[in-house]
Amino acid sequence: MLALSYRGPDRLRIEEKPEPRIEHPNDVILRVTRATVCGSDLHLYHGYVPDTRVGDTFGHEFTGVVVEVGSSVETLQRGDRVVVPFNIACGTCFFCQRGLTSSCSNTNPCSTLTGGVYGYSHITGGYAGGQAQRVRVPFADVGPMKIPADMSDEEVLFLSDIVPTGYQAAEMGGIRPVDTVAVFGCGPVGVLAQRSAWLLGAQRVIAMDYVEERLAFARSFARSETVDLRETRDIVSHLRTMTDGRGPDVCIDAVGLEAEGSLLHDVLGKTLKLEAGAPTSIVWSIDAVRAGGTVVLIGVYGPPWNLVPMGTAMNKGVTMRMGQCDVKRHLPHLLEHIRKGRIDAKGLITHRFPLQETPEAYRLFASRKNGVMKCVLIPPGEG
Amino acid sequence: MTTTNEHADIPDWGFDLNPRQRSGAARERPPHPVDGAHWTTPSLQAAPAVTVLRRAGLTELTPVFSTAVPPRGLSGKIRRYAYTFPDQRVAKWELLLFADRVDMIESALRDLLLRVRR
Repeated sequence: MLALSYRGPDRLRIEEKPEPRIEHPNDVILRVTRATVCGSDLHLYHGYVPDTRVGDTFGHEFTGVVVEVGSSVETLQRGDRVVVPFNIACGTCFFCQRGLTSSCSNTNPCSTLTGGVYGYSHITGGYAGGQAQRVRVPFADVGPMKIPADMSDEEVLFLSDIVPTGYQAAEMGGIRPVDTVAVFGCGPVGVLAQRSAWLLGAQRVIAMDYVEERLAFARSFARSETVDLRETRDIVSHLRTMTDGRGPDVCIDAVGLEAEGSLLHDVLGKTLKLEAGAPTSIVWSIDAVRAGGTVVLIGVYGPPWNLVPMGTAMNKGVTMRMGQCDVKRHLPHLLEHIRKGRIDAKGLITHRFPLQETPEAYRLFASRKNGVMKCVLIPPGEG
Repeated sequence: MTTTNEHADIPDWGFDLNPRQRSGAARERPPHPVDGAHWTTPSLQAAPAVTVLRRAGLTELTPVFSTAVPPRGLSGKIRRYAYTFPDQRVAKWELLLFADRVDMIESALRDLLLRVRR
């Protein structure tokens, strides 16, 4: 089968690989129908994530058709169309039982940081991802959700990650109807967090980015007020000015470890890798949020550490909430939001590539040019 | 307090205003198995034919694990050493990043050798 193969930072290729096989009785094998590239995949692509091995297949957002079923699988059969949460979860461990399916203790022998994740280096278990023609899906009775017959794969594809991730980000903000919510980043997760903030009843949503096309997308998709970071020398002071001198009630970091804006962190984190990428958006969020406000980290960071102003956070009484999205518990609710048009998930698709051109999709997505938001990958024969 | 009228231009503003309506509310319920799980403890995947590294402190592999891209070569030896450190030690992560770069060089040499042989 064709599958993506990582060759080193900024180097990918599509190559022939053996098809996956059933390795556990509750596995299924999917024929991938659609996959996509996530902002967090760029951290793998750029070599920031430890234990990313040459030969790894990335891809944690995908839909597919069941083609092979393990002996203990009860809820799926050959031919079922499914969308799969990026978390691999057993459903019965301490964490899964508490809704924390991103922290499943039965799917990742390599680290304590997360449970298993598709296509996201060996620190999340080393599972092959869905940027391929076939993918192995463990605990198939727990994770995958059947796609309703009246919905297309592309309508539900982003339920695998970014739609619930954006929604959980807004939820973690504890948004109340009087709140001003500031979202750093107008990439796909950022605009979904902005949209979700409105659904949760925010009074005001302010969105920030460096890319004009993404700011325009945030205005049209999420109806957010936007701030162009290229025109703002001091975003922290600017946000205070916009909020009667207090600062936003909630700041959401939807950027992650490749944030721009700080020479110090660019050198320490991106060039020298003495910290895990640049925590610039975390720093700005802590500095900008009002005293007693909430900072949400939904952008991805990796080990080992980052320099952030904990003294500022402590003295201001900031609540910080963060985490990988626990996708499973959000699916029924967000499926209905998509079905009823309250979240236009498919509207985020700006480019489509054949699977064979996935390296080009990564280059485009990393460039943030040509109005790119989400690139969908289409394996051969999937139309 | 803001109202629906104030946000008439925002479609479906406040649809999830009620916290009980939000999908996060599921976490407030007492612990319960996720729908679809029909086991108390998952069955175990068969022992792997390849090396699967385990984090420090884990005596057995998890019930489900990946056998994709096992460690190999010099980078594999560095990874094995890195995995002797627990997650809270910076050494684990810095060694793994170093192993990633060694892996890249080893793989490039392997690719070159294959091309020369052809």
